[in-house]
Amino acid sequence: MFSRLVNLFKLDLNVTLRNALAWVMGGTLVIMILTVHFLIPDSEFEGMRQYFLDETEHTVLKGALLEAGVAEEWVFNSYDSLHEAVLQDRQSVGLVYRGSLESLQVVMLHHGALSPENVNLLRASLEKTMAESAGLSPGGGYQVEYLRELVEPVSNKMHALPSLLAFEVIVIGFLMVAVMIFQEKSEGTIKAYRVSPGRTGAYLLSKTLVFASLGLIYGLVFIFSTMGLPPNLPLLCLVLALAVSFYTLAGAAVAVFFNNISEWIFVGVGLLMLNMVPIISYGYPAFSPAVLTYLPSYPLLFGLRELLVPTGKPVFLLVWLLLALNAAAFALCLPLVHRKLMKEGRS
Amino acid sequence: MIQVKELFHDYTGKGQHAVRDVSFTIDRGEIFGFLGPSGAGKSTVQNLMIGLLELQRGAIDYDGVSVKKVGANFFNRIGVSFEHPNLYAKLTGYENLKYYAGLFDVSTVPPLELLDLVGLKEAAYKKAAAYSKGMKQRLVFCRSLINRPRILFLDEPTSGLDPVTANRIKELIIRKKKEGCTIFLTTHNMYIAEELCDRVAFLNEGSIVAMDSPRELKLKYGERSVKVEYKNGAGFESELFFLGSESERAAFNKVVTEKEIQTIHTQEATLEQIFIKLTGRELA
Repeated sequence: MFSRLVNLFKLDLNVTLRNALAWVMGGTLVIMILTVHFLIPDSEFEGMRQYFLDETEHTVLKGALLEAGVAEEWVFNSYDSLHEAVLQDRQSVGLVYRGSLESLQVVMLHHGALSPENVNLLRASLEKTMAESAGLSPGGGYQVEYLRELVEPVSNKMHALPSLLAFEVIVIGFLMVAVMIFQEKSEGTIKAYRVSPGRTGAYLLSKTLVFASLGLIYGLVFIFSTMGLPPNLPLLCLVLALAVSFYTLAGAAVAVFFNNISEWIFVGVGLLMLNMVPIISYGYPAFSPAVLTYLPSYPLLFGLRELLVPTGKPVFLLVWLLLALNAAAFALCLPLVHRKLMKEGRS
Repeated sequence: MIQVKELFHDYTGKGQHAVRDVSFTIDRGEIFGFLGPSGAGKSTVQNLMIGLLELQRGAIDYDGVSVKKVGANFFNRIGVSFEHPNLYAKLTGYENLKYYAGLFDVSTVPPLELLDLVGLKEAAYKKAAAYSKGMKQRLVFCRSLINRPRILFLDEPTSGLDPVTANRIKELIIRKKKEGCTIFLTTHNMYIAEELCDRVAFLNEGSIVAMDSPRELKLKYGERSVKVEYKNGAGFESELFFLGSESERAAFNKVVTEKEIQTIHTQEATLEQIFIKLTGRELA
């Protein structure tokens, strides 16, 4: 069994490396590295911006905001100008203060769903500002405690790396396994495999191992050429391999329903695009509806950011999640591949 | 021994059977030919026999064990040569065989030895994509022999080959038979079937219409056939009559009386002629 798997692995690796798509992927890797080095600025990444309007009596908060370091152009004089500014900047949230310090009301303007994490952060930030403005000590009702050390702001370059890893490197398995399956279908080699002692499990496992290995090498070349040695190399390797393996299995489960790349393209590319949606939350934290967090790419993206730019958040949960996803994908994919690729006709 | 009993297969699920009530047995060491035109159901029967299609109705037993129950080890004992060359185009001929050999749990034949047998040794390290159709066909044939199979399924093994190479393949098939290999040969080439097969079955529209040794079939259906060539307008036409049948005798008499006869030859009917007689269809 093991020698058969090794043989299949060598076969799949050889066939993959001789496919023109391997050269395309190589070219894409070079473009990505050059993009990171020359096109993405080193400047600090700006997260969600907060615009303010002070409509309290005597505009008592405006001064406090400016004193606290809020840029003058982020503090507006009328509701219309604030509304317009928030409308123009999708990465912003508008905060309108009304009433008096004793009974302060806050109205929030935003583009869509905010993640619970961001809502809590905003609430804490507002309460702190309000308490300070009212001359209350920070201990009045609550206190701020940092669970982790404060981290340095992240550059745009470093901010881009996790998204490139998640949406360019890791999906290599999803795309290439489909290409391989279509090639085997068109060449008819899968039919020859079916009349050998090789079974469906070995067929699937071999492809998964090939793309997990290639994805891992691909990802490491990318990381080494852009940021150098990552903080936690062994864990990054594990996450990369598990993530590519999951996307390979998912790709196989989809590809078995189609005969060639032309048939597959709308569904395949559509799924890849859907998988990419969490990049909006990543780039624009003001947009992070809960439904996005159910996509596997969401925890993966933020987990990769944690791996490359550690802030002390635990990553082991992501490893367990990926293990579970792999197990589920294999369990789903095995009967599908067996039924759709290893048998012919109506049974 | 292979026993196929009352086999039916329906791809549509609507009762349109591609294979209907097919039964036959193949003895160990026998070459059994399955003859029929395209769409007759030959490949369906073969695919059922090698487990590519799931059995719906009927039985296929190998030495008493149902094809439904044979495990992965069954595939260590069989070799399959497909009609359409199914190879990894980006791999060399040698690599195609080497990797395929790696799938088996039994001792395999060295790839170069096999390639030499079919005259492909010189092209061993060329990519299969660069092979001609005949070379690919030979490579697929080689692949079917890599695990020293006890049962061989050959689908049009000489299709697209020049006469010299076709003879080489035929010799190899005969050699395998002498070694005790059981061979299931699917073809629409009556000459190959006549030359190689111990017994043949004619398949038409999913059913077996006749089954016996080529010699017995000729004796049974090919007696007293007469080929008549006659003038028809500016050209010539020829017709074959089986004089055992009263209606054919009448038709023969009519042609002889009414047409301007050029030649009349008595002859032994070929398998193709017998097939046409039985089914009204041509093999090719």
